[in-house]
Amino acid sequence: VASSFALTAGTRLRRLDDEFVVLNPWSWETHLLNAEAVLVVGPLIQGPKSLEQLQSEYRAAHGDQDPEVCDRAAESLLLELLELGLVSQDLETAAHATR
Amino acid sequence: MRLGELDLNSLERSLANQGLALDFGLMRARVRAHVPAMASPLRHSYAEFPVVNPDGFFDVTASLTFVSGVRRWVRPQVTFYLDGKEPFEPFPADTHLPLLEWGLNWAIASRANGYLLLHAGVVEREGRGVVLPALPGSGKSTLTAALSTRGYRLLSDEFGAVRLADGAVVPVLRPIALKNQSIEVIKTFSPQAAIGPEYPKTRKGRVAYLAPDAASVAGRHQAVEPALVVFPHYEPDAETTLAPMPKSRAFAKLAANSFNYEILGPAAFEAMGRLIEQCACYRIKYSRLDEAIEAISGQIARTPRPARPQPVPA
Repeated sequence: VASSFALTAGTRLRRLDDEFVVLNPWSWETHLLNAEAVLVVGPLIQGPKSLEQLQSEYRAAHGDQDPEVCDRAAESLLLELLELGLVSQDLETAAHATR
Repeated sequence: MRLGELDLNSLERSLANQGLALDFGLMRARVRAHVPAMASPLRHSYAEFPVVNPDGFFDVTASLTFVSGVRRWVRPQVTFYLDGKEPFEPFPADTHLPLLEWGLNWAIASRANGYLLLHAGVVEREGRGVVLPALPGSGKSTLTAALSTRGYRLLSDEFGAVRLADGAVVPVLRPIALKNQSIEVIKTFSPQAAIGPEYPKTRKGRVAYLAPDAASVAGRHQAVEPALVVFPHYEPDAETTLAPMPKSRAFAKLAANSFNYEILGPAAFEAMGRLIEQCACYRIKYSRLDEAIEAISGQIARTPRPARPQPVPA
């Protein structure tokens, strides 16, 4: 369970061009996520994912780049999203985003 | 009867007694003032507004009175009251109209939370609304004023009031506050512009007010579908360029520039998203107003006509 992640319940997203604007459900601050962060957030719109699944999707998006570098980058982005409160680890309180 | 046709004695009496009713579109205010010198510039700034019955319901009652005691005679000051409360420190008495205008701005910004309030000028042409967000150094008021003297209907110089229910932008029609060099710029650009007396020593420097024209006043209950968001940037001697702006960046800048985005939260997020998705977003760099207006007008001509404008609900 500890390795599963989901968008925090109540998080709202809107895709504009290649980026996402995301409303934090707790602070009501809006974050602008760039294309790299979208590679992590995008899969979570479909539902909870494990770290390994997110890393796999991130690697696939980066084609021939070093897999280890990709995995570290994906994990780093995920940690940032956790710190911002946009992603939760506890599936009991996490749910699909509004959009 | 228009306010501009009211004789000064009658206006002074109204201000000192039952109050003057002003209907901005989004908000109705009752203004009371025991400051006789304010009557003439107030009449000039709101000349095209109709004189209406000061009884009945008002969203706010704003009052200006002289500070009593020795301050009445030595460097006199005036105090602004909003519904009987005093939100600011007194101002020098010779800045009465700027104090009233800033006080009314404050009232709108802090109370009109049924709308997403963007800090922006808004004008309209052929049913297409143009939102001009205010960023530092943007020249927003100057460009808004210039557009309003070239056939654009003025909705507001200060507030882009986005109705949460349908995304239409509702007029908050007030005089345009021109500051410092902008006063001369607009006087030169449009010699017939109805610019009132200058207030040389306000907290924002020199200020003068451009009165909204008759067509804008007549349309102050007519909301508009926004079609363009144009971020102005004045730069001396710059060539005029109108460049597309990524919608995600426009969203973030507008949200940061809103008065109540984080108060409204999800409702603001949805309203902003709808606004940005339905508008073409641009950044304009300019030094010459006529070229900037030509660029914006050209873009409007290429923008599809939106749905029929909708009236502001009573």
